[in-house]
Parts: sequence; structure tokens; C-alpha cells
Amino acid sequence: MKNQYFKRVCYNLRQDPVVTIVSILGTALSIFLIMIVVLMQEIQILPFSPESNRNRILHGDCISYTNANNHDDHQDLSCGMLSEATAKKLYTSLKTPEAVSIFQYPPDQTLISVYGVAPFSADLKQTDDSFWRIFDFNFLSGKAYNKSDFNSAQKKAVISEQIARRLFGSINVVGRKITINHSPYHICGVVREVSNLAESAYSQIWIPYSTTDITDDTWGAPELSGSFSTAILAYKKKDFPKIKAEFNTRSAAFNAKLKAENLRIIDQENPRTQFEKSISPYSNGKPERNKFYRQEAFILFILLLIPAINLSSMTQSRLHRYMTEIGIRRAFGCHRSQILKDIIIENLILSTIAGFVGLLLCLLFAYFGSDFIFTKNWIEDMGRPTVSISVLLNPILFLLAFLFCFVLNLMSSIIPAWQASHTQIINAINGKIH
Amino acid sequence: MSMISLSGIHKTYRTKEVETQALENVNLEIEKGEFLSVMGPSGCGKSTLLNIMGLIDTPTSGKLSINDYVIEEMKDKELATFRNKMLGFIFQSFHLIQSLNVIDNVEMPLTYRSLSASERHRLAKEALEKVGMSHRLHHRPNELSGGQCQRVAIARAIVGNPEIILADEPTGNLDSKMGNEVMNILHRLNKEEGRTVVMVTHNEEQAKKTSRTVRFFDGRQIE
Amino acid sequence: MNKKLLRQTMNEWHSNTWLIVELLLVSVLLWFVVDYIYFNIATYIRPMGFDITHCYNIQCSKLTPSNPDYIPADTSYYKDMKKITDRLRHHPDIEAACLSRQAYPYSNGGRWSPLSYDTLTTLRVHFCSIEPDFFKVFRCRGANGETPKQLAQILEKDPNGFLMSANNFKESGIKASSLVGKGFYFYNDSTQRHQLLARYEPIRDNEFLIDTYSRSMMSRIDDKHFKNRHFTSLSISVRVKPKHDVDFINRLSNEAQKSMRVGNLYISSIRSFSSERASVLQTYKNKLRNYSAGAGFLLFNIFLGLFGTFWFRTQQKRSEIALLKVIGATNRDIFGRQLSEGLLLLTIASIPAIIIDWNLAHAQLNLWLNDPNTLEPIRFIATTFITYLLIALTIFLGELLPAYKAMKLPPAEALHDE
Repeated sequence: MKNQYFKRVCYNLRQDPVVTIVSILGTALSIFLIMIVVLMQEIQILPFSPESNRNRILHGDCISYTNANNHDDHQDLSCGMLSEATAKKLYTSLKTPEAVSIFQYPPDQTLISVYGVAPFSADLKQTDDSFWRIFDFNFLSGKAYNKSDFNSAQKKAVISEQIARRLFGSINVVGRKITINHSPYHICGVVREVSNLAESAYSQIWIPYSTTDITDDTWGAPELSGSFSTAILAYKKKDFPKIKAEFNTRSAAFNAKLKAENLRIIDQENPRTQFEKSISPYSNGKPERNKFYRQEAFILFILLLIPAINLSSMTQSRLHRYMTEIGIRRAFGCHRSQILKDIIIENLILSTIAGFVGLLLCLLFAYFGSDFIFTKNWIEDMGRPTVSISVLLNPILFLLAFLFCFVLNLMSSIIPAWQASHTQIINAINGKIH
Repeated sequence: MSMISLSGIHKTYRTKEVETQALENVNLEIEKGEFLSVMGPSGCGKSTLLNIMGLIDTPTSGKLSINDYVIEEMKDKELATFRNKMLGFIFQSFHLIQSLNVIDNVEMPLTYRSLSASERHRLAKEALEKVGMSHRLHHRPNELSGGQCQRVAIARAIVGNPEIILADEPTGNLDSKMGNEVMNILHRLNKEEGRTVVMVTHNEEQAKKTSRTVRFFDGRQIE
Repeated sequence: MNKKLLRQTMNEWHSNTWLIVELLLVSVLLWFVVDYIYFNIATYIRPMGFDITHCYNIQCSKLTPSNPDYIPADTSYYKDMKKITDRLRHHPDIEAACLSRQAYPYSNGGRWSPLSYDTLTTLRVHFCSIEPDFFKVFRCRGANGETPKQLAQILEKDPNGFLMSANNFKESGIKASSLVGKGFYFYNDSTQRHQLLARYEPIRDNEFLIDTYSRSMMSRIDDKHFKNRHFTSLSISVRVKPKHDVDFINRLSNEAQKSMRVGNLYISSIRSFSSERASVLQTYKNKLRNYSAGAGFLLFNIFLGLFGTFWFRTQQKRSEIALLKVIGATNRDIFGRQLSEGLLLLTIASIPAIIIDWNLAHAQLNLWLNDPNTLEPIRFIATTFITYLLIALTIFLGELLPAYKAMKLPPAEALHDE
């Protein structure tokens, strides 16, 4: 019986190549765009090196505060990154997580030089030692600075592959001297280039923040804001509510102390998951879940609806052709539900072919045209953001593609199919619909 | 006891402006094993009558019963099963499915029963042997002549072993030689296998050879 | 002929339902996108109020105490930066240089303050602290035609005074020129009054900011309200002489190592304003690009839909077309007829579409870049017209091949099939 389906479908498809191609192309394009939309959202939360632990990481980015008398969370507020003191009080002291790291965010532009090479600007990130525990960098040579290096303010630096090659022409440069902001450092490790889509981990040079006076760079009374962000690594995802609860306790205690200074911290739902971070409009705003879901649903709906209408019209046209066949089948005992099933399955086959085409288009585009969709700010003379193909070959993405295919198929064939199966048999045989 | 019983059957076609009375107060009893011819000029409603008997059209009013089953009381699924098991329809324009080959066309009614593929194949081959088409199993309809197509259509109509065969001008599109062959098959099915055959025809000669003829004019039975 | 076409189309309304629904839906969605692009472009092309060609932005960093060259006695980074600015000003390649705090174009940030005089207040004005040469670097012009040099001189004369952009207090109805000379106050601090010295042509921080967010004021920078460690909020902007603007960044970087270090400060980053601009505009451009892709998608679907439907219809109506030919229609007639059908459907769909568009604009659902003037006559007419045109063009392209096929149909063959 399945054989019959395929035979019939193939024959019909070849009968009218134009309509077939139009149907497939229309569906494929829709699937393609849906996948791109999904991909663009996914890329913000999908784990990849060095943020492979994204599923276990919470972010404590910034602090918003206002006068204790002001009860409006949206007016007259100050916000900024965390000072070291604030970060330690609110985050580092948490007991539930596996590790907490304090690091500079965003990276600074800094001047680097070595003897004999013209100085140039690169991105510098100042971190603690826990940073390397949370983010999994790919070390091509050497290793990161550790706790004792950090505590004794050892002037060690980790640099990216590109920087190493630009300065020394090689990656085996551990121990070599490099001048960062007119200060001499020694290279302790070289890492694979990091895409700036890995927002938290990204930089081109990393140094311990104990080697500079960045901790003095604070403002807001009493020194609430600074230049730091935090990342919290949980043992497992299930710990998130526990960590947030622990944070809230500390935040409340901190707030109580701030009352004396006539200030209060505004709750911005920190610390946040990767997903919540991606849907917050600014770092000082709450994650806008509803807006996000509404927007995505709307876009997906439109991306499905338009081709569905197209396909409906195509299907209806095609149905005219084998109306007679439907009539004959029914005359020989085929149930209405069977007819319906037949038409839906035929469209399913068509949609599956289209789904493959669409998915292929998506992969090709994402790989060769990744500049186009994943553009973020970059320094023009340095590397561009890239995404490795392994990120794109996500099985969930595949499944999603086929799910959408199926929904599209359903939307486009349901009405014409119902019409066709409820026509009087003799009318069907004679090719009339009503 | 009648095989097919029609009483007070009316069929009216209504559009926005025009009302056409295709059948008016038809009362007809057909016995089991009969070979009935239905004759009349064009537009007299004979095809409509056949369609109603074949459950592929519904009367505007009146009662139809086949083998003591009252048709109005049956739901779509029951009707479909009924059509599948009790009836075999032969159309004037054959109406074979172009995208399937001969054996698949004949198997088609059997796919709505729970039979294994081999069983279906066997029954289809048997039916095609009866009509003398077992040498063209894998041809497509557009590779066959008119007469061959009609024979395949007959095979399809009988493959499920229906008790009633309804034929709408089965020789209308065939030359006389082919026509005679087809008629011979129908007579064989009626006499040797005891199936009830109702045939719509224009051909006096053919009608004379059947057991009974009824005539229609303007939607009414006149003989 | 068209009346007959209309009548026939109405008779066949049932089979045209899907198409009309699709055209209606796409018309509304496309209008949305067209409106978005139109508005963004309209905002983009408005005057910026400055010129950044040959301009560069220079940031400084300081040495850390652990650095061997660190000078513990150096306590005023502000003075150090002023010195560096001065040296740059006297550099042979440089035409003008200025120190400023959160004021330069494309800074994408800054301080905001209310600006008040008497009973007048604007809530949110970009508060910029600059050296007078700022106007020379960015070639800003005065609201009364003052040259950059003149604006610089005006600010030079009265250190306590300030200048503001000409778009402030527009809604108040007061003649703007009458405000010059009056005493304003900032940050709700009415104890300190500053005299308005002049007005300048509005400066927009980037191409996608509307007028409401482009209200600014410039006051003289000094170290009075300035904490030492916040020198990172200071930057030096320079304008390079055109003939000397060759490989400027590398040359200055090299020189800066030797001659541009003052106290603990040194030049750490030199970026051209065109780079800064590219970074800031990236997000907006991305969004525009995404919306354009959406529009392209919609149009392509229309194209496919119409192409497929009309192709199929041509086949279905072979006998009808053949008949028309038999009774005397020319090839052009057939061709034109096909095209007209599609456009007719579009016109029918456009009427409810425009009504929906109007309602959406009225409900401010097309609030782009936070500009509340969503229903302006010219904008509405232009966007609905452009939408119609785009879809009509797509229909034309989609019907081209099927119409051509219909035209080439041999009538006898078609009638024979029937």
C-alpha cells in the first residue's frame, strides 16, 4: 500500500513539474527562513566553545539602583556594571554554585606591543582565575593563570592565536614578553580564536585583574558600580532556583545595609540564564519574556501562513486534476477519512522533500553567509565572528525543521482536502467541486 | 425478495435560477440475478438512476434499499464499506487511474479491505484472467486500447466479488467488435456467476439480449 | 472588455478566494515592512549636523602603579589629557583637536540632564562638556549661520555660558532666538545659572535617532566636577588635514609612544570616526536588513503563488483561451487579459488592506524608532502606494511566463483536446 502512495505521488509530481517545483520551492523557502530565524535566536543560547557550559551558567551582569524613597523602578535610576566589592558581596559569596567568576565586561581596547613590531590595539579582558574553570577555552599551547598567580598579581597573559601570530609569527610563544598598556607581561598560554558571539568569554587577551588597578574604577555612592560582570557555574541546571533564592537573600541583606545610604537596589531578575540574557533589551532591564514569545510566535506564524495559503491554492488547483480519481476511489469504497488521509500524506511527502531542500539551503547559507546573519560589532582589522558548522548541525534543528514542515503541510492541505472528500461522488467523477 | 428496491425516488437539481427534475417518482424492483437494461433518450435520467443505485448520488426524496439495507439510515463509513463489498461500477469513460498500472488499478478496491498484498494480487490476477487481460498486467492505461481499458474496468468492478454490477453505457465508447466482447463478459458474469447486472444503454440490440428492459422519458419510467 | 473581465472574475470569485486572501494579507504585512524601511530611510537621510570625514577619536589609558614608569606625584589626569590634546593640536598633520566628555558623535552613550529656564523645561537633553574647538573639529554650524570658528569663539568668551541645539523648546511656541542671553539651569540645580550664548544646528548622535532624541547642549569642559579616575570618560577628537590623512592611525601610534605621553597617561586607542560609525550603525542596519529580507520573502511567495496558479489556470482554461482566439482576439489581447486579471485581484484586495493599514497606523502599531507621528499623510500615501507597486510588479513578473504560454497556444489543438 505504501508503494502505491509513492507511485502515485511520483507520477503526479512529474505530471505537472511547474506546480510541483513551485510548491516545493515555496515550502522550502519558508522552512529556510524559519530555520534562519530559529538559528539567530539559538546562536545566542546554544553552547559552543568556550561557552560550552551555557546550560549551567547564570549571569550577574549589572546593578540598578535608585533613591530609597523612589518607588518607581523605571525613573531616575542609575545602572552600570558591578564593582569588585558589589560582585563579591552578591555573587562570589554564594555557596550553591560550583564556581563564580568576576571579569571585566565589556573588554577594553588596549595597546599591545612587542619589540620590533608596531603597537596596535586589541581587546583586553581582565579576569580572575575561576574564569578559566567556567569557560572552556581551547589551549593551543601553555595554560591559564591560576589562583596563586592571581593572588600574587603575577603579570601573566593569555593571548589568542591571531595575536600570537601577528606578534611572533607562531603559537609556541609561552614565556615570551609582551607589553600591555606599557606594562610588561609574560605569555602563559595561547588559545584558539574566540568568536565574539561568545559575549562573556570573548576577548583577544586575558590578564588577571589583580595586576591592574581596575578595581579602583568605581562610581556611584558608595562605590556600587564598576567594570565587572560575573558568571556563575552551577553543578547542574536544577540548582538554578536554589542559586537565585540564595542570591535574593544576599540581595535583601545588602539592600538593608544600603538603606542607611538612602539607596535601594532594583530587582532586575539577576542572575540570569543565557536565554533570559538574550531577551533583555538592555542589561539594566528585566527580561521581556512575553514580548519575546509574542514576537517569535508572530514571525513564525506569518512565515508559515503565507506559504500555506500559497500551497493551499496550489493544492486546490492540483486537486481539480484528480478529482475524478477521488470520485472513483470513493465509488469503490474508499472512506472520506481515507481520502483525507491520502491527500495529507501526499502533501507530507511533498513537504518532506521541501523540508530537506530548505534545511540544505539553511546550512549552506549559514555556513557561507554567516557574516550576513551573525554580524556583530568587530574591529575591522581583526578577525570576523565565525560559527563552526558543528553548531549548526544540531539534531534539534533538524527535528524542528520537520515539525514545521508537517505543520505547514497540515495548514495547506486541510481545507482543500476536506472540500474534496465531502463532494458528492458523482460530482467528483465529473470533475466538479460543488 | 428484491435485490434493489426503489420507491418514490425523486431527484431534482437546483441552481439559483433553474430547477431541473432529473427523476420523478420512480418505483422499481430488481430481482437477484436479473440483467436489467435501462433505456431512454439523452437527458431522461437513466444515468442519474444508476448513480443513485450505485450510492454515488443521493435522491432528493424517496426510499432506496439494497439487499434489505435501507440506505438513508447508513452513515458515510457504512456506505463506503457497502459500496466496496456489494457494488461494482463500470463507467462509460472507463475512469481508470492514469498514474497506476493495470494490476494496481484492479487491486484498488481491495486496498480498502484488510487483505495481504499477496492475496490482493491473486484476486486481481483472477479477475483480469476472467476478462482476458492477464497479459498486460504492468501496462499503464494510456498504453491500452479502448476495449482493453473497458475490460480492465470490468475486472476492477468484479475483483471484490460484488453481488451487483452497475454499468453505465459500457460499450458507448467502443466499436462494435469490442462492444460485443464486453457484452459477452457481462452476460457470463450474470449467467455463470449469478451477479445482478443493471446496465444503461442506447443500443436496442444489446437491450434485447438482457432479461428485462425499462424505459425512461423525462425522468419518468414509461415501461 | 475590462467590464467583462471584472464580471468573469466575480463569477469565478470562489477559485480566486485564496489568491485574494493571500494578496490582502501580504499587502498589509508588506505595508508594515515598507513603512519601517521608509521611515528608517527618511530618518537616515536627515542632516546630521556634523562632518566626520578625516576625523579620529583618541582614548587614553594610564599606567598602573606596578609599572616602572609610574609617577606617583601625577594627580590630575584631566590636566594631562589637556596637555596631550594641546600637543595634538600643534601636530603638523592635524587641523583641529578638542577634548570632550561624552560628547562626540556616535558615542552611543552619555549624560542626560533636564534643561530649564523660568517655567520652561525639557526633560532630556544630551549634556556635553567640550572644549570650544569641538565645533571646528566637527564643523558644526550655528542656527543663524555662524561658522564653526565663530561658535568656538562664542564659547571661548564666556566659560560659564553654554550653547544648545536649535531643536530645543520647539513645542513651547516661544521664539527660540528670544531665549538667547537668558539664564538656564541644569540638573534641576536652580542655584547655578548659565547664560545661553547661541544655538547650533541640531547634532544627531547617529543616523537612526529622531529629532526628539537629538536635543543637546554644549558647555565648557573643566575639572571642577570631575573625579580623577573617571578620565576614561574623556576623549580627544581630531580632524586631520585631508592631504595628510594617509595611514594616520599607524603613524600616530608610532609617534605616540615617544612624544604623546604625559604623566601617567598615554594614547591607547586611535579609531577613525567612520569605524565608530560602522559599529554603532551595525545593529540598526541588521534590523533593516532583516526586515528587508522579510519583505523579499513575502514578495517571492506572491511571485511563486501567482506563477503557479496562473500557470495551472492557463492549462485549465486552454479551451477558453482557444475560443477567444477563434473569435478574433489577438495574441496581445490574450497576454493583456492574463495580466489584467492579476492586477484586478490585487486592486480588489488592496481596498480592505488600505483600511487595515490606516487602522494600524492610527493605533500606532508602526511606532518605529519611538517616533509617535505614525499617521502622517505623505508617509501613509507614499507607503501604501509603494506597497501596491511592489506587489503589482511581482504579479506582473509572476504572470509573464504563463501569459506568454497562453498567447502561444494553438487554438485548434486546445479545442480538440476538449
